[in-house]
Amino acid sequence: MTDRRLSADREVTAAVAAVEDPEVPITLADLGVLRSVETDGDRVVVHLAPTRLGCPGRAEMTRRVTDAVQAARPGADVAVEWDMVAWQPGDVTPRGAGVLAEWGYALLAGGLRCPYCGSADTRTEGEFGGSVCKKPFTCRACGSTFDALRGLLE
Amino acid sequence: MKARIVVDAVVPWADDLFLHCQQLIRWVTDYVDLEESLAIGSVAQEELAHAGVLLDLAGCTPEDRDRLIYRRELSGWHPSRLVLWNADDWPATVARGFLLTQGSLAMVSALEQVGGDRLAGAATVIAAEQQLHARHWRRWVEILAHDPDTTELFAASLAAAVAATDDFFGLPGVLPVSLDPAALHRAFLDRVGKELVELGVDVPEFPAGPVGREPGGGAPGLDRLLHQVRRIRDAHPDRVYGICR
Repeated sequence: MTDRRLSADREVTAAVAAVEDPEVPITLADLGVLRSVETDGDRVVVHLAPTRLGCPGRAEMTRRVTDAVQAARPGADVAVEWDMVAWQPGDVTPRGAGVLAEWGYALLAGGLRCPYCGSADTRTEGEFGGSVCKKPFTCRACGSTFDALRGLLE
Repeated sequence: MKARIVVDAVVPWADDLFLHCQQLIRWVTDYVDLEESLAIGSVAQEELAHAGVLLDLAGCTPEDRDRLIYRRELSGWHPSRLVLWNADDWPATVARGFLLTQGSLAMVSALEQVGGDRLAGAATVIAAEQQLHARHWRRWVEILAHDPDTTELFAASLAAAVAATDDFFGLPGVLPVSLDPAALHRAFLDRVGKELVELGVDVPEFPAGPVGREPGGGAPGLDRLLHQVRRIRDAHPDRVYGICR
């Protein structure tokens, strides 16, 4: 493979890695939704993993990823594949966890903490939050309510 | 052959999930408890998503999917009696949701064995998501079965819902050995019986099964539900932006 081709592939990968979630300004890479970018000439296959199968943002994510690839490599043959794998809060990068906390979201993983005050003294308010990937909590320390992103295999 | 037999199994199941979603959505606005409305909305949304994934696995394009939902004749549907069972009140809705979810878990467990990475992967993810639904319905079964105000009503609803489970695994077509309807029916009975015993609920008498599903569900419920799904699209064709007109 030539240096020019490698560089072009890196541009495509970087463009996809910069695509953000439609709801929170976190990249799909940091959210753990972006699994891989495969390039073969002008053919680009991007693999994504949904937080939950019913995520209403999937169509918009597909559109954004497709647009990002097309912008980096005009005329590319783009395929976005949704892998049938179990997304977990542990798939979120440390940087992504920081972004989520800034926006008032926690991760339903070991050591759940309030994103506002950092307290571990929380209680759940039910199994279902404002959307399918979220579980609602209240912080006993500061009284804030917040959602935690849940994984598939709790 | 494998593809064909998987299609025979998953399309009627996808139909059930789609129809259950339609049955549930009225509770998003009818129910007085906001948290329950959120929960029902999420469960319904995921039933729809699971139906979509199953149709993808059956090889349906988005156009095929649209056509199946909006254009298929009633005789082309094979819904279970349980999903069409007219559950008008909340205890009946809970009984139906509880049984359908246990049936889905029995089905998905068997599908994981059929083979194919994509099918097995999807079955694992669907099973994990259905477990959340199962926990939700289980909690309501416990509440309704033990609250003196609802014990009798819930027992009657559960018995009536159970009576409608005879064709749940009576899937049309030729199925692989691991989807043997009689074995699936037994697995379902075991699951439901175990759950109810754990919850301290009397286990109603289950019908012998499975019997074959009837085309169109053999009941007017399908016509009513599909009319609800299709009426806006049919009444305003100029406003349809879908892919199958």
